[in-house]
Amino acid sequence: CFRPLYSEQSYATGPSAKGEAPVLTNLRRIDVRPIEGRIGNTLRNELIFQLRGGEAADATAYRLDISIANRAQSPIVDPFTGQPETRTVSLSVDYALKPAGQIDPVISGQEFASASYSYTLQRFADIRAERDAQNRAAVQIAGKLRNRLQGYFATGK
Amino acid sequence: CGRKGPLEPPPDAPKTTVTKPDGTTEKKIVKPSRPFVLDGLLN
Amino acid sequence: QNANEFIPAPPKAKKSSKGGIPNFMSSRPSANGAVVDRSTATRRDPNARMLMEAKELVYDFNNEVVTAVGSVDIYYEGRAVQADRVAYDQKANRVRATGNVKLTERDGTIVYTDSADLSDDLRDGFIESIRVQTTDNARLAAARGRREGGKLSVFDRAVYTACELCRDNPEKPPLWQIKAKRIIFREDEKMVYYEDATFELYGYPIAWLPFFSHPDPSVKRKSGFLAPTYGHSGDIGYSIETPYFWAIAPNMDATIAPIVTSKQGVMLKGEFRHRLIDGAYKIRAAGIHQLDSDQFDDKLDEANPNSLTIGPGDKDNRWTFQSDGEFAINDKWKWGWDVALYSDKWVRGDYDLWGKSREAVSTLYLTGQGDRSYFDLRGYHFYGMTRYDQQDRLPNVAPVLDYNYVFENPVYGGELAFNVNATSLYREDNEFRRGRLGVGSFSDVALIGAAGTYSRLSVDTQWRKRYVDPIGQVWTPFAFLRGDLIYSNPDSSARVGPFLDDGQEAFLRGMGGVGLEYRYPFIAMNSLGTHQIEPIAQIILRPNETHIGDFANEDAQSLMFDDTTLFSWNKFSGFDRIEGGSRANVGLSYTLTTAGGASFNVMGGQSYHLFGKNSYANGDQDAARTGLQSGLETSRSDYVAGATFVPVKNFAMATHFRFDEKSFAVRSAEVEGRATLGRFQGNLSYGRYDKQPELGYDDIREGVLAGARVFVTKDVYVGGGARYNFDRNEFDKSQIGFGVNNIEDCINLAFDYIREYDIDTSARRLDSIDHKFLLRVDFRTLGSASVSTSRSNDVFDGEN
Repeated sequence: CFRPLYSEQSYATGPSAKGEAPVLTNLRRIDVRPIEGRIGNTLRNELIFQLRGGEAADATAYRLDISIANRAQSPIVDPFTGQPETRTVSLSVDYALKPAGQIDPVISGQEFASASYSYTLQRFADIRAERDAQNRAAVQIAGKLRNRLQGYFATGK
Repeated sequence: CGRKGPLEPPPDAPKTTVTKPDGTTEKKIVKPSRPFVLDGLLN
Repeated sequence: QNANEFIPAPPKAKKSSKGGIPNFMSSRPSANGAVVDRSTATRRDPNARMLMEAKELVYDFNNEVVTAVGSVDIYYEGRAVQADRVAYDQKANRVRATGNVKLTERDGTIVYTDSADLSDDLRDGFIESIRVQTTDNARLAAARGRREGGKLSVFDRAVYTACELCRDNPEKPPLWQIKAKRIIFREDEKMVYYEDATFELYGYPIAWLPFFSHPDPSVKRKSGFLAPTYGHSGDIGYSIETPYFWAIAPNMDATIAPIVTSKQGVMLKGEFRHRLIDGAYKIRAAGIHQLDSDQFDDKLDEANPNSLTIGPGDKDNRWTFQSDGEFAINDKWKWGWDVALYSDKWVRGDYDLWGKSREAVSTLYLTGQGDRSYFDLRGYHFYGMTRYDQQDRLPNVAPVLDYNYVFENPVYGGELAFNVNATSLYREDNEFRRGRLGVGSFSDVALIGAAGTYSRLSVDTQWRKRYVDPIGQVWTPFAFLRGDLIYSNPDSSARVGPFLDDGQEAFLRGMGGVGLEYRYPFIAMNSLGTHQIEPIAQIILRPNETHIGDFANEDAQSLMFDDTTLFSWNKFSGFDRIEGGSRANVGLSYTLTTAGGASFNVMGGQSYHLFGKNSYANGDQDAARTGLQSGLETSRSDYVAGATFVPVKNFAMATHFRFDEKSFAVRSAEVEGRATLGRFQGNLSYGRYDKQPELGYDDIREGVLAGARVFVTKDVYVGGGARYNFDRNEFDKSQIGFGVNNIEDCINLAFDYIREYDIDTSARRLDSIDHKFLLRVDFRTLGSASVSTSRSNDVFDGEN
């Protein structure tokens, strides 16, 4: 049945710092590798807070590699101008968590998130709206990666 | 007739030899690394 | 919009090996062709011994001829000769092999012939009726082969093809082949010359050239004429483009392509590419002085001469200029530009210059990325190319600065970050969004582009820290502070009145807030997998938003309230608006991760405006009316929910919904999915957004785009895609196509038919349909040719 994920007694794999749930200690020991590009920078900054909660980095015990594929589509297009009326950004992220010093990952997989915005003939407003949609999708993915990682540390799977 | 292909790096580009994991060495272009006035803005 | 916008690109076609046309001709020092070559670089190995095996050896001492008879095998320096009978004349240093001779080169090329007269090191010599198979299994047969001086191979009455000959009756002509009186391969020039060459398809000669040459395929860049392209269109007549590629240096080249048209004269089109140590740039330009510009002087209504002109009208000189480049300053910083300038909206479409384009965004930028920081400074110039674009409504924006910085080390125990944004733009004419506000007559509903100058500098800092208490509850206090300095100088005009008061003014807007986020994640495990459930609550205390509507809203016009914005502290999408008043956001998230690695996540919630001014309800003061009918304008917001489903790698789907807080009516629904499963590739995007008359959206915006490609066999795929517009309830774009790869291992074929509205702005009628047929044929090792024709007719043919 359900039990608190971050409570100290929670069964978890790995070391635990003084009075801290082992899951949290493990999360803080993940070194998220740098990701190229603006979306990568946003995703990495958000993920680092989700893992460390603002505290300083601990000794690295795991290394997380992330690659991002970014795509945008328009399901609704004004047939006369050919210009989209809305546009949907989707981020597909491949991740792999490796114990420090080892090559093959303990867990790896894919996460996916999408965010939409209204599109008009004002191209500057569209560029800024697309940038915001990318940020929203990146924050979504950071949350999903945190869930996946803490799930692994809490259950070993 | 001719054939259009991708550009190659400039011949006078400084190169360093990099040994790939399988031991073979490979010439890699040296990336520019001159200091820039705004470097301080980035951590 | 590229042809396969619906269908994700197929996985990379199998890369053909690096070999070329019979790469036994390639320049590597190893032997080539029927005869052995010793390039001058390597000395002859003095103690290399020739091994000779045979059933029977006959020594003729006085003529010094050794004759081997019966399945003879000769090996010498990595080359082998098998034959029924080989005579080795030591005095004349010749080796004569006869009877199903098989010569194998060092690089694996095999040559079959009836008789071969070789030098003793199997280097030079004459071959009778040879058949060659190269390592990348291209085939060449010739009546006679001759090799001279290790540099030149000459094949008389030769046939070349890359197709597989069918085993049971090799007499059937291969799919395509090139028959030539003579094929000469100049190893030093790495060129292959054909004399009196005929290209045959299915055995039928379809092209004949007295002389024809191309570089040995292992050569990647070679100056010379490229394949010409032909075209025809009503306005420019017949056109032929003959590009000449000039490889100036390994890192620099130019392509000059005159386009001779029957009606408009000659257009000069060129591309220059240059790669330097730090980066690369390219310039593309084209220009023409049209001889018969009246062809383009179309009137919307032909009968009435002074009706609206569509198309470039009587403009004679038409040109395009595009350039892009990017240079690295060091490992963190780079700068670059991407500029596109045109004489008019239609020139790229009319002359099919590097494909049609409806976007012309020119930008110049400087970008830097640190460990946890990002800096981007750029300028924009826009050129609207759709029928409805008016150039002076599009802004020139410079500078646009985005500088985001997160401190690596904790400040007061938590994470401190700041963001700077500076935007300054100018445009000449206003742009309004018009609507009927439900049922009335058309009127200006929102101002989405204010003429005049608008500049803003915004700095915001935020601090947050996560505390976890012993029983596992997560408390995240946070605080933020924001300051905006705005200079607004809109042009005065009556129409702008109701949206923006004109006159030059400067404003200082501040905002600050504190808040707390509470999460309590629970976890459980069972046979299905790991379940995580997490209630989330957030409360934000802050003063009201000020100066709403005192200045234009340029970068925060789009507002889509759904689960991706539920827990944002500021749900606006830009800096021109900022959420004020105190607000609580509540939600519940459930995540399932199965043992197999599949993940499923669903989240839902609602947002409550506690006290103070609801920035979204006050959207009516904002010039762009952002916030109205967004679902946030009521104290109790709409319900929002979202689900993501990734059952297996490369199959993912995300959905977002918004339900009315009273009637549960669907206010917005989105589905976005993509799948690559074995031989199936699918792509889906659906969106439905309720009416927002106060923003100018009088109708429900709803559409779906779906595309799929199925590999029927390893090499044959069938694909299709369509976009359906529910408002007009018809398919506004549909596409079907098929592709066959490796037909007899030597032809790749791809065909696409696209039916869409003729949005080429020079179309006279709005609803004419454009039918485009694209055929691409790729002859392995030779090159590819593509043909595209498009014909547009009006939907109601009978009418006009």
